[in-house]
Amino acid sequence: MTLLIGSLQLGLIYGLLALGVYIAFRILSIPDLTADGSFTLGLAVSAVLTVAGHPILGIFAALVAGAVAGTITGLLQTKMKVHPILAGIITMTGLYSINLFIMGVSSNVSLIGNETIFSMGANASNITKTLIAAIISVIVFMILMWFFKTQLGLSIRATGNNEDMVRASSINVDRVKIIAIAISNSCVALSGAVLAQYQGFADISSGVGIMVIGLASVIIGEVFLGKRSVTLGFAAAIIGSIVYRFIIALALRSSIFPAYALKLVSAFIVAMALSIPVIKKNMQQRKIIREGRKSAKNY
Amino acid sequence: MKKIIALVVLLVVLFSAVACTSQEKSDTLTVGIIQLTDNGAFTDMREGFINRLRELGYTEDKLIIVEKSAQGDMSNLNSICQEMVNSGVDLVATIATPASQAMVNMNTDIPVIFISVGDPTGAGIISNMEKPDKNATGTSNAIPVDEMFKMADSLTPGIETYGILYNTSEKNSVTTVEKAKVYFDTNGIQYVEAVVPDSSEVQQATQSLIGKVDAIFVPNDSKVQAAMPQVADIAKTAQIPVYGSSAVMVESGAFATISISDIEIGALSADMADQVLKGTQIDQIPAITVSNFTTVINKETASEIGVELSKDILSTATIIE
Repeated sequence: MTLLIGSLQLGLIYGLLALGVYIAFRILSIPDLTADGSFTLGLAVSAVLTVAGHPILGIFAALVAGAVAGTITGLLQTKMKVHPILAGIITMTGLYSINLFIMGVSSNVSLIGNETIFSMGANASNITKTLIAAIISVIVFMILMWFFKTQLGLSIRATGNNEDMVRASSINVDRVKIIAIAISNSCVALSGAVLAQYQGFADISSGVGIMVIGLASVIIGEVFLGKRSVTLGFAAAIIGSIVYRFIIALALRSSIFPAYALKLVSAFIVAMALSIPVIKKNMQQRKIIREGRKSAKNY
Repeated sequence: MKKIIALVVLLVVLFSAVACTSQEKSDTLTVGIIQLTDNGAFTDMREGFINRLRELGYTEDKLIIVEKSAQGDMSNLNSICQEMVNSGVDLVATIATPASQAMVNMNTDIPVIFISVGDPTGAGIISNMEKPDKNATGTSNAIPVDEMFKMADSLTPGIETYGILYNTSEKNSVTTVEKAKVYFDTNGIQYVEAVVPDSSEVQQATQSLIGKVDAIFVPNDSKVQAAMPQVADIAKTAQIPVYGSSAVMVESGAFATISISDIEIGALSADMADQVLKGTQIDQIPAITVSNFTTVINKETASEIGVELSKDILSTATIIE
């Protein structure tokens, strides 16, 4: 049961990361690589403030920090006309040193024994932890859902769709992009912040490869829930993250494979999971063709 | 609609696969081993641990060992710890700091033996080395900096400036470097730091030190260790000795080190695990900082940089050809 519930909790926490990645990649159609850096930024800020005795402040500070990181990337892209991918890489690289500095020039900050948002309730049972993770996810989901139906939110969606059209409508495209990337990285940093308090430590290498996890979650979710609307997209991001965690858990459970095959097994399961809709469609089409041939013979 | 059905089916399959509890609770003990990345030192520690357990009488039918590696992915570490708790192992051995922190944070009844953690109290894993709490105890591999530089002085006297090559993201490296700097300051030795964020930048960092230093010191750092052959090449061409912090580094071309064999640290941890499995309470087993060191010297490097090894050294140290 621990693995089941634990995977659910991790899925919800990393779901916030997936939401941030979804905003940048799908809504704004910008390949933003700052996530590796802003995730660790949120992790570091939250860890340091929790050790100082302010876990909740840590969460909010991480939100702000993520927004600042996103703003920097946005400014590089829009004002300095740096290519989006490079802008993200520049911010991510710079954040590495900043994160080390925040953690007190240490690569690892331990939170074990400190009050965190997960231990604040009377009983830090598994159910409480899951509930806290779920509540945070739902709150962020609802806020985002509301935001992307406001004037600003719609401008962001439009920019991702057809930038020239938006510019022609005399909306400040630069401002819109910067705000969107800031929000995206804010979500990513929030994910890092919650994770730090969940796992009890912050390590500088926690952000390595986080982009891959975010993208995998978004795409897995989309395969099942479709791309029809933004709200569905957000739900898909969170669900995709949970499914991805379950896949890892499944890969871990199997003792048939040696320890070093973990990533190969999880890659295989992800590939299989993604091909389910395609296989189903193929089977349906073949069924239709078969039926068609049968009825053609009858004539 | 069809896609939602597919999703539901997938979730049900995953749920049931993950949720079904592991079978029997027989007399066989299960020990889990968790590591974050795969590298030479960790492999040695793991092998040392497993071999010692087998030596102590825990044969295959009495003890099942489950090894899991997060393969460098921190996010998998939490899932692995949850899986260990889920399958109800009798003891968990964690290699290095992040894995130990993640496991201790799970706050379960399963005893934890940590293998080779640089600073257990600093990392929050236990509060007291003598009387370990948090259901964990184990071995610490703090590097003996003082002995290291005294040995360096006897092998290659006259070093005025040291170059320190390390990766800032490893807590162990940073702690060791701090200690080294204290030694240098007390003894009036100059030093120059070259920081390496990633294995790919090791070559340039090393080259930046050449011409400024008389010797290079590398702490217990996995990134630089991975690129040690490059460092050794550059240093050999410049005729500068490289003092590493593990036998693996010397095997890859560094000149010399005073090290604790990783296999030995694994074996010592196995002894502690044996005590726990036989019923000793974990807080009765103090965590130990391993202190039996051996000098390891690479003979080929020695001849390439023009260092003569005296007969005493040749007889007492471990020589690698």
